[in-house]
Formats: sequence, C-alpha cells, structure tokens
Amino acid sequence: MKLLFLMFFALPLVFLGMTIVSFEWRWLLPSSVFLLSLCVVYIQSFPGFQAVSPSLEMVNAVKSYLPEGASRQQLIDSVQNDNLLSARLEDLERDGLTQRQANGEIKLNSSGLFLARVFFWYRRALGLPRGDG
Amino acid sequence: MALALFCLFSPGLTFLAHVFVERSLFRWMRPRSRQNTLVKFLLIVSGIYGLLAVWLLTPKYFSPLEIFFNFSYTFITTLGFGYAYFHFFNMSETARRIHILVLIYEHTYLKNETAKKELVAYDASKMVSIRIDRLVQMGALELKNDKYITRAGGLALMATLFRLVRPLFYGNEQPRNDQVRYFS
Repeated sequence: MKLLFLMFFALPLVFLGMTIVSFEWRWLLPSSVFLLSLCVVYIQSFPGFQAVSPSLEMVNAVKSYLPEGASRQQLIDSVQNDNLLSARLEDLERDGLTQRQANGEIKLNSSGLFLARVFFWYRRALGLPRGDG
Repeated sequence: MALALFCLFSPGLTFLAHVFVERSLFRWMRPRSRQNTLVKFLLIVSGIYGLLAVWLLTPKYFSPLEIFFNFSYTFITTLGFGYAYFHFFNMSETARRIHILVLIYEHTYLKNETAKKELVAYDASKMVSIRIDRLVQMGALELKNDKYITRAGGLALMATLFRLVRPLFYGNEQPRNDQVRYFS
C-alpha cells in the first residue's frame, strides 16, 4: 500500500516538479493535475480489489441466498466467527497506530492520534455525529 | 493553466460546499442515505465547476470545440478529486478502524466515558446490523417478508465487479478479513 501511494503520488509530483523547473506551466501543469486526479481515483479504488469490504461481501452473501433471500440472523451468523474488536485492535497495533500499555490500556501513537483527530474534526466541521463504523 | 489550478483547489471548495450543505439544507431535510446523496452532490458540483470554468476561465474567442474541451477537462478532473473526497467521507462514516481510533481518542483525550462503553459493545453482530441498515438505506438491499434481497444498482454491480476483478491481481487466493485496511 505504501508503494502504491509512493508510485501514484510521486509520479504526478515529479510532473509538477518538472513544471516548476522547466517553466512550461502552460502545458505541463494541466496534464500533471489531470494525472494526479486519475491517480487518486486508482489509489481509492485499489483497496477494493486488495481487501475484503464487509459491505460488499454482505451484498455478495445476500446474493448467494437468492431467490429466497437471507434473514438478518443468517447474515449476522455469517460473520460471527470474526472476532471483530480484538482483531481490529491487533491490526491497529501492528500498523503502528496504537500501542498497548503495561496496564492493558490502549494508547494512540502519533500517527493514530493524527488520523483520529483529522476524522474527529472533519465530522465536527460537517456538523455530523461520529460515524457508525 | 488557470483551469488546472482551479481543478487542483477544487477539493477544498468541495469540502466547503459540503459543510455548507450539511449544516444548512441537510439539517432540516435529513437525507435517507448520506453516501447516495453525496454522490449526486459531487456530480452536480463537478458540473457547476465545468460551467464556471467555461464562464470565467475560457477566453471569449474560443471555438465551441475548445469550450467543450475546457468543460470536459474540468468536469472529469474535479470528478476524480470528488471521487477521492467521497471515499474520505465514506471512511469517516463506515471504516471500522477509524471508528475504533476515534472512540479511543474520545475516551483518552476528551474523557468521554460513553466512548469506552461503545468500544466494548462494538462486536460483530452490531457491525453487521449497522451495515444491513445502511445497505437498506442506500437501496442496495431490500426487506421482503423478513428476508433481505439484493436490488439491482451500483453497489450490487460493484460487489460483482470487485469479486471478478480480484483474481486478476491475486489469482485464486482470497484475502483474509483482517487484511481490510482503511477501506472498510
């Protein structure tokens, strides 16, 4: 994922750098911005191919029950074996976003704190409550 | 060149427009699905950016073809940035990791005790229930005789598309659920 970011952000940034160095603003800047726009689309779409999105998997799960359809309990049971909270907490720790203290408390690392603040204040700016997850 | 700069700063303008709409219009008329509404909003906003680009940033002597090119360039580029903005908003609404991080933040730094209770209560059944309700609100699922069925539409198509395209990247190896990153 880091490589993906590097590749697709570095490329348009190199283009933008060339724009500044060469003074060819007229031609290079529009293509750099267009390329950047395509790159962010790709970066945002790629995780959908790479990882499981629970919502999309749920749509697929319902499809497998067609034509009768799936009950709420059937859908809940289909993911019950996933120990959600502890698994996500372990992921956060492995990615360096949180750190478990000796007393068992979970502390946010600087990058985790940054992410949490960005999203907390973003929702505040929109006047919306915290997302449901 | 002015067009490119305008497009580059469009995410900031989109954010401000989104704040305005959420705090004014949606305060009184709560949308059924925020995600669906945001998609429509971003399409309209990109169209407006395209028209503004033609009106303010295109020289009067340009031919109709050049005017059309300027509109298309602005529309497509700002729509690309808008797509990224949609995912950012979607993460704030649906991402489990972001949800957990914000709950820890609220508990640790803002001393919000209910955040800790919510964190402990955030189990798989709650997560699935939230998602079922959201998918119904988005029109991807429909409840008929106490059974959920899929409805034809963008999300059902996306679910099929991702399932079909994933093997092109990873062969038949299926990703584990814990490989989910900030996407979900």
